[in-house]
Amino acid sequence: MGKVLALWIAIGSALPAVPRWPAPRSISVMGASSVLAYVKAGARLWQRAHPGYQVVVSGGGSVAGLIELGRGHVNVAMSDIAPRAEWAAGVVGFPLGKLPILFVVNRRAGVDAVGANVLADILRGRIGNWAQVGGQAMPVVVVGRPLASGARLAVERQVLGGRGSFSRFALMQLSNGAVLRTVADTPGAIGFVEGERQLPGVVQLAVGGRSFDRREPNAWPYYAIPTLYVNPGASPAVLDFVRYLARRPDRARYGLVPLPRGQAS
Amino acid sequence: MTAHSRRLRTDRRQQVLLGAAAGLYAAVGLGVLLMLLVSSGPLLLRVGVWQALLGVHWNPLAGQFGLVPFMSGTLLVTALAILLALPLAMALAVVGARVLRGTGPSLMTRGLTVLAAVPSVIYGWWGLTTVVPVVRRWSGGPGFSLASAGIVLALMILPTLAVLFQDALTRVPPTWQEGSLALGATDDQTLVRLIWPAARANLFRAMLVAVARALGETMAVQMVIGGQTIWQLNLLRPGATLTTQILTDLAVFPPGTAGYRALAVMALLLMAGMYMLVRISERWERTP
Amino acid sequence: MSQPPAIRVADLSVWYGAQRALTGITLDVPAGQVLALIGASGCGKSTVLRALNRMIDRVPNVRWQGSAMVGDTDVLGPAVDVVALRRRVGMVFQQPNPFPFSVFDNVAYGPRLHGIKHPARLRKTVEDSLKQAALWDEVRGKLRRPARALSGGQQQRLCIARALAVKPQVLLMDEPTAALDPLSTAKIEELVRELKGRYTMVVVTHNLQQAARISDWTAFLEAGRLIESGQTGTIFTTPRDARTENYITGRYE
Repeated sequence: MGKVLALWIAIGSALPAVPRWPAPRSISVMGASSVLAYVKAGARLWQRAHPGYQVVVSGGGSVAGLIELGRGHVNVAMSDIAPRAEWAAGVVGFPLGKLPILFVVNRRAGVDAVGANVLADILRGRIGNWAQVGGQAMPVVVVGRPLASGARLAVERQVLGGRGSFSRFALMQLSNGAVLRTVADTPGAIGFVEGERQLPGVVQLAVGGRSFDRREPNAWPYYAIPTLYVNPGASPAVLDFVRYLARRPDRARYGLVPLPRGQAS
Repeated sequence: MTAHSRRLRTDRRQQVLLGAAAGLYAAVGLGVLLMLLVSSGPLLLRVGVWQALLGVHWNPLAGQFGLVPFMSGTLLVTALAILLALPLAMALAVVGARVLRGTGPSLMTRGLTVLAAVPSVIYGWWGLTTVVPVVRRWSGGPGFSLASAGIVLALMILPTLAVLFQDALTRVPPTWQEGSLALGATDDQTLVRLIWPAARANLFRAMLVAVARALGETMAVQMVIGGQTIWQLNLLRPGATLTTQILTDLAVFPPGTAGYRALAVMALLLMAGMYMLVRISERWERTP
Repeated sequence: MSQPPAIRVADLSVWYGAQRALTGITLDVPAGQVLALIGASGCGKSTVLRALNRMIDRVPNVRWQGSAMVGDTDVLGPAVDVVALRRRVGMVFQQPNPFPFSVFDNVAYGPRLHGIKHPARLRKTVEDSLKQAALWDEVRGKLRRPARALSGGQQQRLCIARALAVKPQVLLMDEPTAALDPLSTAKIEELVRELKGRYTMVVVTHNLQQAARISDWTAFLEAGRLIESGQTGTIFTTPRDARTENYITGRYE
């Protein structure tokens, strides 16, 4: 009996000895999955130049990253969304660039270009059939992302202009990949994905006479701006790390378009 | 110290250890419940329980927390899954318990157990590539639907249900079956009139496990259900369940916000529903 | 009630797969009389019993030769309706095996199988069967209680009542008192003596005194062969075969 108690006490007192996360020489990054690949690659290079530091990068979504930053559980949050005060107050942002938001349509809809207002009305659910915009007679199926999605927020701001929201009949998919697949498979579907990427089996939509072209990325108006956020009192190492990521020249390889001069912080 | 008193001490130690483990588990379980109650409490107190639960509009950013679409989605999807899986699982169980001979039953159990361990995302993938297109062709809609979710869930719970059913059937003592046959019953009559009633409590418990798995399954359902939050009862149209909506919206609501509380209420609803099922099954077991 | 049939087993051999369980058994039980089958464990007594209601069909790879007439029917014939046979030839097992239902539903199980639904008729059948099995006085007014709450002896008499409820002509009993205390055993033995005349009975038993007390005829089996059979009095007082004498005097092996 006594020995058992002693064992329990030993286990109990050993628990606080487990290293607290984040440890002093480690930098933890959490948030939007849209720039996860870029941040991971950059972190590897930065670590090489800063021996002794360990960077831990994890996903979880923009909001989750900001909330954890606000609570002091991580050093850096990756987010497509501007932080609200209730998530993380007074944090400092370092934009990584612009990530294009591309609109994709199922091939059988027979539409490859629409006006900006028409796009907004389609996403709002006010245009219910592709025949209304010169396509096949086929109902429109809007494929959206959940409330937590940074891309959704950007589309609501930039396309819907804050007036009205997504169709109540929209399907919800949790990731870019799921949206793409759903649009490719579902007749009459329209959706949006973040980042320049291969778009197999779908039609990339031109909006308002413009279509996305990687050689002239700034001509395309719809973007999310993934940003790294840190707390005001961040350590020099953390600041060095985020500044490094915000300036690396090879961002374009990850679909990130550098912001025009003056927009960068 | 005698061997006997040593054994007693070992017994006591084992009891303490096992008791501590059970206590820890109970504490964690109660902790989760408490957390959900504390999280959901303010919302329930503010707009009133019934208004919160019985609204049909889910627009948490605008303060509408109607959970009826999700309760209805969960019930429909689970009911469909059980309805589809039940006869198939019983057929498999009867084959395993009564038709196969020699190593057949154990081979079948092994195969089904392996199938039961397939991760739900694989079933979801199968649903996406197979079920959704079939439902689409069938209904003319998008294919993402309550029906797709029910079918995927049915396939997912089928192996578990079949193994548990088979176990329940083989637990009926052979001497009872001999007694029935000796009275001139056929094998089918013995199954329907003796084995099913005799195994009733275990069969029901097996169903409960399957229902619990169906109620709680999130990923596979999310992949094929469409995630639409409007309340509608057409199985061939998209919908959402309590768990898929928690998954979809959890990331956007930090603890302390009204939306987070609404999600906690949804989790509590699931637990309450499961508790009711357990109580019903207990009532079933109080028979000869 | 119609006259019970005589049983005539002629040159019966049974194989379980490659293993020979019975060799050339020939036995007679006159109508309405009781035959006791005695012998060591594994000698084939139960196989003889289970051949008579074709419960041996449940053993994989079973084969047999010879015949077993119950009345005018060869129960081992290829065309025999096993379900109908088992209505005529009831069986009581070594372990009391009441179903997990009420007393009433246990006894009514057989009649319901055979299509009796009318409540009054069912009730009458149940009551008659329980009376025949000498259990009625102990369970009247408690017919809705679970059968498994009865004592072991009561459970065995319930199983007899359950077998009687389908109105059989023959009763097979496989060591019916092996799991019972002496008092319950005495009641079952008394019951067998009462049922004699109305049913032709075959009882397997390890209890030699029991065989002597309840049976008219006794057959002694050893290693699947019939060593000796005859009137019970004769077998127990003046056995012809030395092996029989050794067995009944306890000098067996």
